[in-house]
Amino acid sequence: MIDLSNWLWPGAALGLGDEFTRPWWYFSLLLWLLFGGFSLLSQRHDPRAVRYWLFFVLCFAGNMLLIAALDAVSFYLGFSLLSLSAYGLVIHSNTAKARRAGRLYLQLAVLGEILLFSGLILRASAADGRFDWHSWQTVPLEPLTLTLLLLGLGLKAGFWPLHWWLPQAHPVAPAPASALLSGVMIKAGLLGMLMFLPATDTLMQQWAPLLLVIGLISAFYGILAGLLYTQPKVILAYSSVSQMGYLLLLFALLSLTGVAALPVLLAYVVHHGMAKGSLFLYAGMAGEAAGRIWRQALFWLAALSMMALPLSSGALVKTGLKTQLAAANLPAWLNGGALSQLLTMGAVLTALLLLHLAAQLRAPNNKQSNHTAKASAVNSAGRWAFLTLLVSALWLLPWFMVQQWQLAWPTLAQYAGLIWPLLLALLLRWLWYKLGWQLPAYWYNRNAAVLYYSLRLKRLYQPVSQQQRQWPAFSLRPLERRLNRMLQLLVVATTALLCCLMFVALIFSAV
Amino acid sequence: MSPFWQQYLPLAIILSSLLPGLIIFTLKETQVKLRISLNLLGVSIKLVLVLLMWQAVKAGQQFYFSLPFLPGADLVLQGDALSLLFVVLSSVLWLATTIYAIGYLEHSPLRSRFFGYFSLCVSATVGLALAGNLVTFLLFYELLTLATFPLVVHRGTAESLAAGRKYLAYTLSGGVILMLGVALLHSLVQSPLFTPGGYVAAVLSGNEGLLMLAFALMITGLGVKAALLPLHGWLPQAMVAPAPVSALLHAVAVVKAGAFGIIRLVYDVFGVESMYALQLAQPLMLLAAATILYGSWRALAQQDIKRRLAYSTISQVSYITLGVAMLGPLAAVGGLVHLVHQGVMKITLFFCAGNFAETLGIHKIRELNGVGRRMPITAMAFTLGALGMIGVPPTAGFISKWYLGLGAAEVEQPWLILVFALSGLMNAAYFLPVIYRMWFLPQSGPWPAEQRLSNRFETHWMLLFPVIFTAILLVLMGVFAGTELSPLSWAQLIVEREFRHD
Amino acid sequence: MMVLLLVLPLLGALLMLLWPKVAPLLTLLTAAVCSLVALQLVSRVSEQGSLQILLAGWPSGLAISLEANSLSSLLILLTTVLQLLVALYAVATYRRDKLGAGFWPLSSLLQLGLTALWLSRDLFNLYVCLELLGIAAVALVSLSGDKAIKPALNYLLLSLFGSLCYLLGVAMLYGAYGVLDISALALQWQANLLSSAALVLMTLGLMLKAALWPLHAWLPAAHAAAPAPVSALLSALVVKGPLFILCLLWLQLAATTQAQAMAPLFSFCGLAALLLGGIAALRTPLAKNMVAYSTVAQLGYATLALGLLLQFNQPLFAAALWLFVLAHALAKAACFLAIGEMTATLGGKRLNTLKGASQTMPLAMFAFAVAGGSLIGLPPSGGFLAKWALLQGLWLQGDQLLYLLAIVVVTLLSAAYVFRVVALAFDRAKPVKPDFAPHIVPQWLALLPALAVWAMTLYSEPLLRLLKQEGL
Repeated sequence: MIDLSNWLWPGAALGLGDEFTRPWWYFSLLLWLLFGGFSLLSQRHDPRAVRYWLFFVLCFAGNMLLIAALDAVSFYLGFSLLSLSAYGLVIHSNTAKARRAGRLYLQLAVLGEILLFSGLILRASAADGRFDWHSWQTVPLEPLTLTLLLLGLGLKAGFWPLHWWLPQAHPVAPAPASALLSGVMIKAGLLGMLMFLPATDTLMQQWAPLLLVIGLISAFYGILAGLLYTQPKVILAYSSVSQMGYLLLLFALLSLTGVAALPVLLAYVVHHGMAKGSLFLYAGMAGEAAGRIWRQALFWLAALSMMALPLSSGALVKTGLKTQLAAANLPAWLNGGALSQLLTMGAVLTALLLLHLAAQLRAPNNKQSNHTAKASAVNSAGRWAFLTLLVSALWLLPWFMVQQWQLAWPTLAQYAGLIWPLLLALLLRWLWYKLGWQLPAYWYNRNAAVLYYSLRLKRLYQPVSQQQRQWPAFSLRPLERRLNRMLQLLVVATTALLCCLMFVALIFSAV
Repeated sequence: MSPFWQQYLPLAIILSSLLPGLIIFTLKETQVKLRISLNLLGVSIKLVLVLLMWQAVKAGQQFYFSLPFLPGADLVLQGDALSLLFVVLSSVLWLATTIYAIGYLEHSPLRSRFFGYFSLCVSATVGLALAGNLVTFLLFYELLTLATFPLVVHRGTAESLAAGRKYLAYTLSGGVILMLGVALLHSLVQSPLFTPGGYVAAVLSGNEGLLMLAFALMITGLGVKAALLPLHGWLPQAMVAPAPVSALLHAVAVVKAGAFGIIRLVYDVFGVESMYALQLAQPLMLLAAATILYGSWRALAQQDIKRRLAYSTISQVSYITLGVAMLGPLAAVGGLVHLVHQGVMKITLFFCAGNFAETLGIHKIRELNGVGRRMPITAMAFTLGALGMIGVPPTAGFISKWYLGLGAAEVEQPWLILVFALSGLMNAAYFLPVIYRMWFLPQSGPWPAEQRLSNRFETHWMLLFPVIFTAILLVLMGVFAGTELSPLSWAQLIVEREFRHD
Repeated sequence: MMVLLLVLPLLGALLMLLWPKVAPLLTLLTAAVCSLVALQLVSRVSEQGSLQILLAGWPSGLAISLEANSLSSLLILLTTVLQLLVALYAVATYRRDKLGAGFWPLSSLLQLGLTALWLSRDLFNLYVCLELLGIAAVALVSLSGDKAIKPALNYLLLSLFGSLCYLLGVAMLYGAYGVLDISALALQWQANLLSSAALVLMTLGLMLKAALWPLHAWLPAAHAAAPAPVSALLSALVVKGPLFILCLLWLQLAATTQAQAMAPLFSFCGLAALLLGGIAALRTPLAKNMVAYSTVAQLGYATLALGLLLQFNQPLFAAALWLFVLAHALAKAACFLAIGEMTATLGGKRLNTLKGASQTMPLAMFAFAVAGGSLIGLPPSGGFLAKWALLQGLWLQGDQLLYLLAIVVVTLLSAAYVFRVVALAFDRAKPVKPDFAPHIVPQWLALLPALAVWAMTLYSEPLLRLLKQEGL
């Protein structure tokens, strides 16, 4: 631990002493470096490269700082640095769409910041002004604080119903940036929850089932919404919403299992970060994969890991999730069995969404990649090499997880339970394709209503034109002129005389 | 420090700017070098003296100088921790503003007059900070009004004259009302020295009504300068003054004088206990909160850069008032430290606005598109200042907001956190679009009135360096808030002394 | 010493008539010597208490008695110093402004009349002084030439009428009591119809001469028409003479019942003067009229303080009254000299002439602003001291919110008319060009009394103490 409180802001301290910050730090560092390397190649011909790197580095710094933070202020500093700098990445392409998404992102990010700020203030105050979050663990939470923190951090984490910005912002950013956004940055919200919402807290225990339900809804919502879109990156963004739902569910389980779910949570975070990162990268250069079976294989490897194919990291974490759910002491109104069924169904849907994605990636209008025009062969090969590296790391992950977090390999029965949803999804997808099931066209690719409200909000604080208040013309001058004309010397003198007479009368009456 | 210095140092600090100012009045327009040297000499002497005093006060010494004036109310100058906070702020920012003003007014007429009044204005501010009792405070408060008026109308256009008239109408009324309040309090308890914990407690029983009246009168009088809600009308108009004047007005001199007066009134005249006993804190708190929200709200709709900044000042200065009115130690730290932080941030923003206006002729926000490429350093400074105003760490603004928030939670007024949150949101809503325009939008058409003021830099170096200085300062104050030298630790020292008395 | 103060100006005036060429020099000399003597008198009085002498060795009652208490000595000092200052100003400008040769002896006579007035404690002597003062003042006004004839005549008639009223009152009192010495009269005083009638008559006469509202109508025209040094003398000193007598009458002679009955009227008159005079000053388009109306308004403070003093018998009000008189004298002298200098240089008598004066004549404008600060009552000026005393008195009296409110309003009003000029002076759009290069010395002379009124604060504590004790 590095104590900086005598040097920097009060209470400042950095360190990685924790069971979850340390792996988090290394995993984030790895991904940042990987995607940074990727960006070196992909942004090579970018006319705004300086801007890209500026915000990239700021985000990087922010993310690393918030993980290493031992006090609330440092965390908040890293968090805001991350949030605000990510804006630069979101609007990097500078198209109207990107600016629109950026505006929404920024509005919500600032809102989230403020909510988080208020929550942290209340928390720090409840802890007698101590800033380090380790000492907050024993301080009981209050409902207001909890709500504020959940909202503030949730807006970053992007689970339902706080996901609005996510499907807008992820698709418009450059591929490595969206990979980072989905893979690493939105996890900052989750990390904040881990830090500031102690799982053993009484109130947290009461609220955990609610969070669990929200997580489930989010998991389903993300997939169902994603199925309605045809742009690959939007689908991936909705998939992130769904996956964040699972993570929220795991977070809720932390409270319900007495932190036994922590390894699974960490494994899930790493797994999702890598898998989603690979998929985003692939989606960014899908055009270059046409007709090249090895490149397409990379996509399938990543997707299958997400679909929880046996032996993949996905299988490991999904199984872990189910085990934890079975072990959790749920309140009476939550049926463990039903939840388990729902999870299985979720697996089917996840697989379905990824198959949908695969289909959309093959669709002709999604094949243009930003890089096709200028990219040299070496550059392209380099980028694919990075992706290969990432995907191989993803598939090596299970062994690491088993080693590091003592996650159990699934049993055979569990393997069966993992495989049949996949098969079912395949079947469904095939039927769908064959029978041509379609919803009415206007259900697809709809613009989110939230963009409209974002614009309304912007108009509120940036009025198009400022209306001038017009006071009615009013002048006392004519009146005064008339008065002056009336008050000639003679009149004044007479009045004065009258006044004097009044004096006299008064005096005499007094005597 | 010898007794001689202990007595005359406060006076010397005032004279170090007053005398050069008076000499400058008599100089001819052409004696530029002499004028600049005098000015800088005054600044440096003042800084050295202030530094001396700062060290001595830190060690626990007291400074005291008095002249007989009214019965029961001498003219007293004293240097305690609180006055030092303000003195240091105004001296340091005076340095920056002087350099800036020299660059800004190069080749413009009537500079001797301008710099003369400029020095008078700073002398009055420093005097106000060092004032040892209410009557002395009142005296410098009025002098400040008089010294700033010529600065506000310096341009001599119809618009600036109208602004000047409005400024006078507000501030003189405020001054008279303050005088009324001071006279009332004087008739009750005389005007002893400012004491931590206040001095009205002795006459509290039986005089509740009169004390409340006195408080209301004085807050009204001070509220005019501090731009509290119904009394803020002069501030947005007064921004027609030249940029260094606006900077000084908003950051150090006038607005802060009001806020500083409120701090003195609450802590050193009435004291926390009497404030509780008379239940005066709650209305003040409500008023300040309303002002914060109103100022931010009005700032949103302004299309002129300086006007937007002016409304932002209205909002931000009330943070100080609010911090004071909460009557908790942490909130007091927040309010006091915001006095400094807001000054540095706002002066940065006004310097930048002045740079844009002077170099490119930009006055409106919509003309700022793409200015980040033409004037990157100024735009960067503006960005930092704006982020500070929003309260983004690691700028200074965050530190003060953090302490204010903690203070609100400490005195169990969580709704105030909502006020801070809303105001923060609105701050973001009116500053972020500006930043966006500067950096992310391409330049739209030629600049309104571009001048090449320097071959090497984006603008004249005298306009640029103060901006860099204050911008760096505002980041340093935030990042190194935990160090001994930071305003934060000084504010904590003050609060320790203020709240230790019982 | 007191005799010296009376003899010197008389002698000077006579010599001037005989030897007009050195008249300016003589005036300066007289004023300078008198100032020194007055200074000595002040220090003597402050050490030994009030001095009394009887002229020509006659016993009390028959002889002309002179009494110098600390107030009188202060007023004498003020008179002589202002006389010196104005004489200096006149010396500096008389060629340019074509000041008539009559100015020198007349101003010396004026000084004589005033000094005698401050020292006299006898109703008839006071009348004589008053008459001398009035005649000299009218003559001085008429120095301006043809355009001043009408206001001067007006002034003369009203002044004579006022004197007559006063004389009538004196005669009635003499008929009833047979004595005219104020202290002797006060011993026998009875509050009856006759004494009331006499008081009212005298009061009317004095109010007319002191231009207290509502009998002020002659003042703006007369003061505005006079040459600048004369207006300065008139506004600063001459109107204070009758006021002094008025205070003597009501504070030393009148019975409590009479005083109590009259007090609200004085207060009302004072407030009305402040309000209406202020508005008139604010709205008039002519520069010197503005200052003259301001005199009307400022005399309202004195009237108000007198009314409050009669009503509450609070010594702070006495201090306020005399502080107002002192501060106003200095400030108004500065104002008139500054405005006179500016209008003379810039050519024109409208306020618009002063446009841009802060660039063309910064010193004179500064003098006006500084003096104006005292008129407003900004700390730490003499005007502030007076207002502070007034406010303290009112707060100590309790429940006088109406007066306090009125004071706030009129203060703002005075600020409005002062800053109307100042703001105009800062107008850089089309500054009025001076007709000739501005002279520096007269501007400095205008600045001196303005600085003096702010310097009063250095002696604020002794002044307050003194005037509280000996406010008649």
